[in-house]
Amino acid sequence: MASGFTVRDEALGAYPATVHAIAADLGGFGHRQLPTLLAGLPKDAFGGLAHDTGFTAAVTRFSDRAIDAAHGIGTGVHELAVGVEQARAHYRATEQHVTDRLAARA
Amino acid sequence: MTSLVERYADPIRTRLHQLTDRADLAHRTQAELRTAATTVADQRDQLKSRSAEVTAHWQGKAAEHFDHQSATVLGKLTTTAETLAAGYVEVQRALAAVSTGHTTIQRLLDQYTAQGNQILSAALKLVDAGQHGALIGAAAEISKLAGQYTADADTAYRTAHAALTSATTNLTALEFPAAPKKPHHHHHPANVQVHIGQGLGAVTAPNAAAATAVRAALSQLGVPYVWGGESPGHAFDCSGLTAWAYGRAGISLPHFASSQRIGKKVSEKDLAPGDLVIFSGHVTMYLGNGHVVAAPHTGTDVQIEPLFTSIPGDPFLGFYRPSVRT
Repeated sequence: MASGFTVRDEALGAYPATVHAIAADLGGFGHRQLPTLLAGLPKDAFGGLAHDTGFTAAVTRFSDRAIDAAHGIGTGVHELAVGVEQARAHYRATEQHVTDRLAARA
Repeated sequence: MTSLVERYADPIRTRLHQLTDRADLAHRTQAELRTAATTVADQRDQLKSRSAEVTAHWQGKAAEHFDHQSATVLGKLTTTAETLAAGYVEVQRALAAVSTGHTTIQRLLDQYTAQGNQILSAALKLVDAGQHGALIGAAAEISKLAGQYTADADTAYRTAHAALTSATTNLTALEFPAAPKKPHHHHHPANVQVHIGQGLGAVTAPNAAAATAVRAALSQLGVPYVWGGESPGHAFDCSGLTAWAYGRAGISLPHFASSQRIGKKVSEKDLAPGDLVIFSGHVTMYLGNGHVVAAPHTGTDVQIEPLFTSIPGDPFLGFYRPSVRT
């Protein structure tokens, strides 16, 4: 095989949909669920002392960083799915190329 | 006269007010952090399981690359779940500190008020009995009592302050995995001429970055297609060529065709040199005059070919201009 890998096409073919679903979950988590959970927290939930000590601001920053992290992971998982899709497309293209060449020689 | 007892209690009430939280909302914060941590951990377990399924049937360099990428993402998921859980613990500590401080100071206020009222009541009885000086003595005694309780309230307040300061420091120190850097877009002067060659003449790119990318891609004509290749003069695959070409212009693109949907999406009538023609599993770079430069597939070289937007079994995703921020 010119592309240097072996694969069970049906296994690889099923994977992108699954990983895309997980990517969508994580994307939704990063863009909707986590902001709803964290970003909308009332700033006075912990009282005046928490505000004075910076704890309230720290919670806000923590939630912002969590949202960024979730978004980044969602992108990473999406790229995994894309990579598998592309590998599968190359695999099929290579198979077709080899088949065409063999047919041409015959 | 009861106002005398209340007036001396003002410093205690101020401390109490500082420690009055919205317990329902604060507990919601705590619960939501725990939910977030659990959700991320669940996502990690799902991805781990699915990755194991696919790599069980996939060997070779591409599989190794995937395995490495997958492990990186799984590591980030684990770190995120752990960080969220650690955040939950810090919020829990802060909440406990606020709650304990509030309870303690409320108890001190109640005790002071009860004792102060007893002193006052006794003094008033003495006044009724004709000892008119009793009230002055009671005021002094209540003032002293308030001073003692205020000191105790200050101690409780400082304890809560220290706990919250510690929780703030800890929460700030918790680290999430770094998010991928967003592509850096430079400002480029408009209208840059690029000579294509092969009888196609010169074209005008929308900016210097696009022109640089086009020149870079054209400099690799004849380089053989190799899957996963991104090596100038030696090997390129489709997305490797476009990623490398835009890298020469200072714009970072992922080495996956469909992930190169970065920048401004443009219509076919607005196509300009340097725009990427993206499919689910393939990408070419528009040159102008109805042509693209591409690394098509195994057995071919980097070449100029007519623009096309249809590949059987490979959906067309659109035209993108990475050099223009959306």
